[in-house]
Amino acid sequence: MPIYVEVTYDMSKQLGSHRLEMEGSTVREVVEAVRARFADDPAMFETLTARTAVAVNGVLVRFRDRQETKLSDGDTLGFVKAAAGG
Amino acid sequence: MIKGYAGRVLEVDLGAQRYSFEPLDEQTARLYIGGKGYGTRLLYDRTEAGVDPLGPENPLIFATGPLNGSVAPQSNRFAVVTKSPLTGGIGNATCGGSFALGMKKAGIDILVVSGRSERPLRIEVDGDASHVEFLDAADLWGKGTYETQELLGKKKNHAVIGPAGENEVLFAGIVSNERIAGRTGVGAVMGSKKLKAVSVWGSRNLEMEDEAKFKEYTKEVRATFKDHPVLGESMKRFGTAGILNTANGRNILPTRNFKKGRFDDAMKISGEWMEEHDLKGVKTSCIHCPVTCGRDVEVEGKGRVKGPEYETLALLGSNLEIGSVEQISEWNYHADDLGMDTISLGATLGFAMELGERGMLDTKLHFGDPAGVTELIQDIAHRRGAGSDLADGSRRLSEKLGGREFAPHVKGLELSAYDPRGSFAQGVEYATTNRGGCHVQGASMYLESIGPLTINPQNLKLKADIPIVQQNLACAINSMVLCIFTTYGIVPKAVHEMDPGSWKYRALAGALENSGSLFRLAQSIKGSPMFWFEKWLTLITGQKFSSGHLQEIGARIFNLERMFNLREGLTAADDTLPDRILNEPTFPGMDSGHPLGQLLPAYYKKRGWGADGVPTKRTLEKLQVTI
Repeated sequence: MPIYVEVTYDMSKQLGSHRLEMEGSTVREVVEAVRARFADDPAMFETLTARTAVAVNGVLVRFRDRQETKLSDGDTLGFVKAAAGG
Repeated sequence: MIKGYAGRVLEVDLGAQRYSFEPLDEQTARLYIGGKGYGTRLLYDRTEAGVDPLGPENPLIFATGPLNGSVAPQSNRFAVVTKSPLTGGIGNATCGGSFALGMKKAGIDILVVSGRSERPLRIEVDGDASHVEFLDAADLWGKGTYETQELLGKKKNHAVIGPAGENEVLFAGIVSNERIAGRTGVGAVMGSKKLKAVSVWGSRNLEMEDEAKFKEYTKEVRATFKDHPVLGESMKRFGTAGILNTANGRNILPTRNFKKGRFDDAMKISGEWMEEHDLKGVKTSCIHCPVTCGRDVEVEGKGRVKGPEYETLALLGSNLEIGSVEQISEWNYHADDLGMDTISLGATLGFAMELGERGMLDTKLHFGDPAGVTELIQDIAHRRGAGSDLADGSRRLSEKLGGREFAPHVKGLELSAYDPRGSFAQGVEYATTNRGGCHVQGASMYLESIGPLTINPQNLKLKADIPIVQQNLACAINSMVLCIFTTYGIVPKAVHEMDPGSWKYRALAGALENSGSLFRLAQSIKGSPMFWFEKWLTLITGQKFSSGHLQEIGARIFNLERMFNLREGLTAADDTLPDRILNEPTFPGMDSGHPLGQLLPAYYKKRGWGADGVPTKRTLEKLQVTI
């Protein structure tokens, strides 16, 4: 099973899906795989990741093992922006 | 009279159809500011324990504060205070729109409505003539809030109820323009008095201690807001709906009656989706507010109407597994027009769906299926058939049909849209907030899980401290009366722009997370005014307000609310969360749910309460809370 990487709304229109299926056993590997996926369009990678925190299944990796956080098949990796509302 | 206040309290007795203008009590204003604080003091002093919330003895208090009537951004809000028919404890809600401005223009700080009329009434208050007219409202009774306000005209400022309030739906609200004082059933109290509408007008201007400096400083604040990533960018672009993808990404978006924190179709109800599909270029705001967090949408057959907020998108969307902004917008329109709180409505509908799924309620409702919901919303507002049971909220429904362990409420008030299993401080806030399970009585989740500078939302560090500081601040903000969204501006732009992976960011977040008792200590310093709301209060009233002053006043208000609840029979046992939240994990690796039991004793101690959750005599004396 793959690792699911959630994308932004704008990207989802272009890609036809709200998530990418990637391979990798750590956050670092998957982030690099995403970077490689957008090698022809680095701006898209920037849009996805700028000013975001990485979360695995909703938990920020900052509170786990950061880039070395191990991933399991079926995990969801998201680039989460700060927000406020109510 | 202190500057910033009109100096008058209008007392209206609906039963006798009498009224009087009384002087505002300066000492109470100094201790409680105004708005929710002043209103709570009045409610405590004027009611006996056990007062029937839907009886004539329960006063309905509309309260403004010293910032209302100024041009300060986010300052056109009023508070409504009463005993809640939904929770049996303190009831309050705040509302934008234009009514607060109308009250201050009419020269009224506080309006106390007591008694009960035998027939539908509305009142008109001519502040300049100091005259109140009692008018028959039979022709308006049964009409929605939009039509009612249209018929009352645009020259005056109105606060009205819809059919939900008339029929005493326990989560009915009071509407001003397109905004609603939604929570705790304040609209049911208004309906129980047979009061359809209050209209106010006048031509008075607010007197300030230093108007020139206030205006000059407000220009600076507006510029800061304009440049702020939340108040000037995200709120403007997406409204409150901008938070939805973040909440989903953090696994705290209520889904399937709070069973999960993640919704597969979240994208379809997000602010980004709304921006492209539904926003018709119309962004709306309360008077004088540059944030423009409201946006209009098109609803078939209704035209351009107010769009749903984040809370509505979550509770009527992901919580019911409905991934359609169009559908949610239609329900939102009906709820607003009928005068109902969409948070309690959505949470109660989700609870009913799960009851049905478990065979505990005979219903055709299903998660993910909109069929029957539109009709049921009407039935709830009119208390028809099964709708009447749902009109009493999730707690009473669980008492009647079972399912207490998954009924999504605290103290009877339905939870709002941040699952506390991914936001431990928010869980403590929900459990201890006096009006029940609501997020805008502190908004702890902003500091711990969704804002730009978050701490680990799933360990115990600071989780008893953050709610105290945030609840106190919210009490003060709701007494000025200012929009709670103003607190989202406290974290400056520079922090928003930090890369979360950078050492600077990590150092700052680490310092916050490990600040321990320094966190509350830093807030308690009575120094110079720093934030805009402190400076505004100082420039308007001539009194000095700083973080320490507001924390003290906020704690005073919070403890008085607590004493009201205790007098009404609530106990520490009511400071809890639904069993589902306490026991069912939502994150991989999580053994259980929210660790409330580990945090509550520390919270009580830091509040200056006994282990039984009762404020000590010393705490009350220190805060000058007289009971």
